[in-house]
Amino acid sequence: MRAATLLIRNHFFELNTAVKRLHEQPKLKVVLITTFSIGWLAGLSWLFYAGFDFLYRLGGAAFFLVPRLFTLFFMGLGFMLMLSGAVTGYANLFQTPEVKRLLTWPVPMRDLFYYSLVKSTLMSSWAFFFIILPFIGAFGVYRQWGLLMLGWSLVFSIPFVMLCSGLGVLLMLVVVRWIPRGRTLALLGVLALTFAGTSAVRYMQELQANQNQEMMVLVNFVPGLQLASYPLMPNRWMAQGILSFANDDWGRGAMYLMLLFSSVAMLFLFLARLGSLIYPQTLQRQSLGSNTLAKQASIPSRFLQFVLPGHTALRAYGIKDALIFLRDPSQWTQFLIFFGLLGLYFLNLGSLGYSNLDPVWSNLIAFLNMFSLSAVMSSLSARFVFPQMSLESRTLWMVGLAPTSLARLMLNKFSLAAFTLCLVGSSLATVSNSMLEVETSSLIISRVLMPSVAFTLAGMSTGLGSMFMELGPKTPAQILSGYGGTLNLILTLLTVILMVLIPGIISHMMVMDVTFGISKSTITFLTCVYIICMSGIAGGVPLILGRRTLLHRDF
Amino acid sequence: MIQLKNLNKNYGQLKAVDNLNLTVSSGELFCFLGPNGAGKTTSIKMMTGLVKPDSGSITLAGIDAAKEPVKARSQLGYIPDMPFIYERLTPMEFLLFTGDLYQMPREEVREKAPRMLELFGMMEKAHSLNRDLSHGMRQRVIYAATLMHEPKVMLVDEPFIGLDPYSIRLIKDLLREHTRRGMTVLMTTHILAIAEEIGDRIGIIDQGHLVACGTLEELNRDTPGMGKLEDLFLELTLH
Repeated sequence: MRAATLLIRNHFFELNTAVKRLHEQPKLKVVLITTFSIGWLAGLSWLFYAGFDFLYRLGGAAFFLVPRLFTLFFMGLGFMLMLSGAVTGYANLFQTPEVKRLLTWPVPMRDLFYYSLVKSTLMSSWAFFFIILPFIGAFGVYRQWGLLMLGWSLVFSIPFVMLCSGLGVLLMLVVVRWIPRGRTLALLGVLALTFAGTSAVRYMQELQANQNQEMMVLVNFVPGLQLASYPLMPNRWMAQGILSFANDDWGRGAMYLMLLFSSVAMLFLFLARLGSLIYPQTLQRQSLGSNTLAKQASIPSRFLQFVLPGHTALRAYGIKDALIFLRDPSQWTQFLIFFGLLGLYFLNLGSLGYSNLDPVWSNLIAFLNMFSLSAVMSSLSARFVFPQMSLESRTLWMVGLAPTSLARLMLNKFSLAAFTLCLVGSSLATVSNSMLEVETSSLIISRVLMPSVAFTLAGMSTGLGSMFMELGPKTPAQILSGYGGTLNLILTLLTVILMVLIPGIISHMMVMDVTFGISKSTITFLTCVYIICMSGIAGGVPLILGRRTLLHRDF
Repeated sequence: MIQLKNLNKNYGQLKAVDNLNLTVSSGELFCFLGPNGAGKTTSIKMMTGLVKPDSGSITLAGIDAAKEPVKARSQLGYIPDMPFIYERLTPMEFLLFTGDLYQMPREEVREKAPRMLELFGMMEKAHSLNRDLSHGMRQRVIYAATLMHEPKVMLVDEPFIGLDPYSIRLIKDLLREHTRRGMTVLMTTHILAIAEEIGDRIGIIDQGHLVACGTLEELNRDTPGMGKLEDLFLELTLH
């Protein structure tokens, strides 16, 4: 493992250099990131603290609910980590130019795999500590733990994070290596996997059938709790371990900690062995696979050529961007994961009986849903829309010379982004609202809000992306980590908060009949005016500034 | 035709292009030579409109590039030294994209794209992803895309980097053929032998100045004692 160790060490040297050269970074950028990080940690900690406070005020129920909440929380995190591990693992093992370069170096295949595995685990998991820290921290502060106790809890997080991320990589590896290439066979493979997954869940449900009555009642209200509480789930070991330490049951806590560490060791040994056996063939299969894809792709290509109407330059960008998006798994999987999860949740709102709740609650949930939807749209627009103009700078030799201006190119990018975000956002919001059966005024606000959020996000990300356009062969990650990318992420998030929060509060007051003598229709109208004005300013100004930058700068 | 008059571009204290005057006629292949950092790429980028000149005028195919930039660009084809093409598109899709971008009629694009790929020997790879093509194949796709809209002026920056002899021959023949048909070609290269072989006229730029310009015979006549272009180039640009 000498080569793998050297390669990993190299990254730590790079990190060390980056930290040492932090003072060379623009001060505003450092201040912005630091402020946002502290604000995020503080805000989330406060939310979790308020949640625990609420639960413990319920009385004895908290002692029953909190352990379940812990298992559920860590199960959610675990699944997200698995997905993150699978996507990052795929990119690191099969997509990066670094792998191609290392293949020409005297690096043993086993080392190459092990290095990519460790890199994927680290890359896919570090950000999750920004969720785990506030959760455990808030609980620790509420229960008045000492620093030692907090430290122990964080030690638990390390094997848990590694385990989930490693499982994601394993799953991805199996799919990439063994899912058949042919469409029919691939479909059969997916069906078989779905059947296996469903059977496993049913088996667990049957095992859990004889549980106590409180649990039986609770699982009817909280979907997924049954799965989360299964004794062989790592999230349960994590939750039980931390709570055992908190209850001074050190022996039981240590047992869970060792269980997590030994499972990680076992998984990584297995992964290293499996990787050294199948990685070379899988890599080969992937490179062969792209040719097959190209031949098959003429169907979406022909379809898009046929259906996309309008101005020819707009049509050209539409087809090009759609094809590139469809052929890049790292792009569409992220879209699918985020919006798919939200879609599943919204569709299940009806079966959870939320529509039978008091209108005040269903309205609150509807706006929280719209906020989470807008937050996801915001992060995806920062990830996909902001770098578009910088990425297009590589093709200025042709795109920049076409008989259409760069401002037009920017507007094309904006239109496509706004249309896509509007379509997805409005559809999901409609599903959520109809499942919750919200009042007419909230429905009207929602129908104005989601297209406005889409317009704002697309406008800000495209406009700021043009203002801070980076030239040269840069990856989206490099573009995003620049000053412009950071500013865009923070500004879009803040704007989304302002755009959704205020109408949410107004709508909440209307449902509670606090209208200060003004008719509901007037309040609804004024709220819609506020949303449209806010959207026009927040989305329009960056577009104007971006256009001005494009007209006056050199490339 | 390309006409540059009193063209200037400064980057801070650095004079990248200093009072450049140059005329390249229709049907002429002009080779633009100079050491690294001499101002060749900046001059070309000013002609494309990607870099704005501080002063001076540019006329392309009789169109003032400052007054009618879009019209001027529609007459122009540009191939940089390391062009990027969308890796997840196929050559055919890339050509269709180019046609749409240049607002060519749809029927014409559909008829012309396969013909261009055929011309460049790329029909077999028409539906493979660009990322799976070799450097030489990508270059051919780029030439096919650039020539799709039949530009009257073509600017080519270092066209022979990393190409096999077959591709070099193909591109040389292509440039000759198009100049015969009336296209104006301005090409930069570091391979002096190629400039000698295919250039109708040669210009040498150094530190933003055009230090020599003419046919090979004229250059030899103006600087007696320099047998080869290489000697002349070194004499004029070595400081």
